[in-house]
Amino acid sequence: MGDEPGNAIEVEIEIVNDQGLHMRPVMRLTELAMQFKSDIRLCKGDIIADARSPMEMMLLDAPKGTRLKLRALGEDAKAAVEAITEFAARKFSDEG
Amino acid sequence: MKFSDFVVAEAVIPELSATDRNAVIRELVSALATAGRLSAEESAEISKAVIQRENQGSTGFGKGVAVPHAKHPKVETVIAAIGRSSAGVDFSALDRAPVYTVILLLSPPTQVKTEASGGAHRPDPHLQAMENIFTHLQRENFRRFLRQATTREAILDLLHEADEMRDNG
Repeated sequence: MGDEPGNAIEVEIEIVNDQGLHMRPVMRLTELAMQFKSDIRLCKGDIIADARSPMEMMLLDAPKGTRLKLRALGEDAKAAVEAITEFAARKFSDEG
Repeated sequence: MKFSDFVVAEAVIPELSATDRNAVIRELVSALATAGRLSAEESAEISKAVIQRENQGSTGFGKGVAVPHAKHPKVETVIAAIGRSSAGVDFSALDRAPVYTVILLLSPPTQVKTEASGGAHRPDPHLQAMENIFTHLQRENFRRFLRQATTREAILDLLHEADEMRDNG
């Protein structure tokens, strides 16, 4: 507990669901990101989206096969990155 | 893609009669039918499809706006209806707050043409329309003015300004 910023963690994730990062996966991902205290960003080239902002995430334009950088900074960064990486691999619970 | 490429002017409703999520969706789909963009039978089927999709996950992404949408074989080109509710509607939004502006977007399952292109093949216009919607919805002023616009003309003016802003930059 406390205000320790923790380490910054960056990994690469791949969008594997057929429909890509469309609105419903974005909403689910946002809800997941909100469970963590860390600052969480998804990046595609120069476009950086706050994982808590569905509007920013919608502008990532990430169809199937897109590789995104997932960055987290904060006390629970490691847990956040693990949870989001796993969620992306499960196609954001999207059968699409 | 610009708002004028897919928003059906006659289906812009400055004050929705409906007060719950499903009724709002039906009202907006019906407005597209009244505008001659869908038949009455199609409109019932499409409303059902949009409601089903909404049940799978809310499109109320917070900040008072929801963007219910669906791809449906009865839809020929990307079309949208816009409704405003001054009382607010419960869309089970991400931030649990009421929704005051609803943009309903319908697209064909596989895109071959758009309003603007006159039939030319383009990359998924559904995504292009979404990108346009979210580019503007990110701006707080745009959301606020949309919520405050009390007439169809005021909403259409706002969309027109947004299109011009896009053209210029």
